[in-house]
Amino acid sequence: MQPYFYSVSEFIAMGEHGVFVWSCWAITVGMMLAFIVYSRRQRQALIKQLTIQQARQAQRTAKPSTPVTKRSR
Amino acid sequence: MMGRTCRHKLRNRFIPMPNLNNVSSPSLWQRIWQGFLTTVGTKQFFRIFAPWVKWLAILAGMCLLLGSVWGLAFAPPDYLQGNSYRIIFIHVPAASLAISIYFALAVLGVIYLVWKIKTASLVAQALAPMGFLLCVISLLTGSIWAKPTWGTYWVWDARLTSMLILAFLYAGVMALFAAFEHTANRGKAAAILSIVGAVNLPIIKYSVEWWNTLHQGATFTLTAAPKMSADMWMPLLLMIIGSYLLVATLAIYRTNTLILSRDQGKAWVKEYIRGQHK
Repeated sequence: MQPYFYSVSEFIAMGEHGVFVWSCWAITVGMMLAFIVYSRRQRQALIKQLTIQQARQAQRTAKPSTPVTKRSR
Repeated sequence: MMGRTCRHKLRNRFIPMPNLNNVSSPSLWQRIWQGFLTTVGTKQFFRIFAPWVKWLAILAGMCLLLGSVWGLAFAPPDYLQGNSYRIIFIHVPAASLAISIYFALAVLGVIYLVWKIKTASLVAQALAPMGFLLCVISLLTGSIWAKPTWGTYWVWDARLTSMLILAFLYAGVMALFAAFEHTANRGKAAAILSIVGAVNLPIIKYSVEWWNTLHQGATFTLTAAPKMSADMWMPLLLMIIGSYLLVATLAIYRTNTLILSRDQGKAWVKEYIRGQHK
């Protein structure tokens, strides 16, 4: 299979339609990448939040038990 | 001497109604149905589909990359439109997905309202912003394509207008998902709008046949041979498959995020979060 265009400049120009074709691809790729990054950030933020929450809960359950054991001794 | 709390407890106690017609054990069909209901639970969805994300993403990326390079650099130009037709490789997959995702929202809405399967509502919530994004992409690329081909960015053509309405419907569904604090109400309201809005789908599909539109008819149908040459439709098919796979990947990923958020109090989620940092 042969590439249709002979040179890179021809490929970028796309006849007279380079502006239209490349702007479409830029918009689409940009929006989709932004959406993927947004989805990933959402997940990471949630995991971070839940981790902090769990650590706090672990502290809360650990704290009251230690003085009680000390007093009982 | 029955206190308030005591009566409250009694009222909420679950007492199964004795079935007088059929005292025998549940039939095979009932058992299969019950099994199905438990497998589509949030935990099972997460367990089954989380490992798929990576492989689906790789497959989608490969299809999209190959399709893009083929479509942009190797496919021959159209004899009438020249190189501007290369926009088809994103316009058609985006538009096709925008319609398919809305159809999926309607089906998921029915599943949620009839069988009360929570996962369906979460998948719909994960899909709605993606459908909106793809609908906007198809409108934008379509209007950019229209400039060199029709000489204008926008006409109030039946296909274009019905597609614009689809974007508004998506915005409505997303707003409903965001509007309610209570998860069940949120899912119900959005499901109802998704089902009612599905009336728009056949209008979009047949707009090019019912009205005299500027927009051309379908290039691809499942039944007839493609109206394009093979070195044009093969990259297009790759792009369509790739974008469906990408949407599936993102749908699973985003649904799993929603599942983790919703079930954050459950033991298996806590275990999963603990596992994330080891």
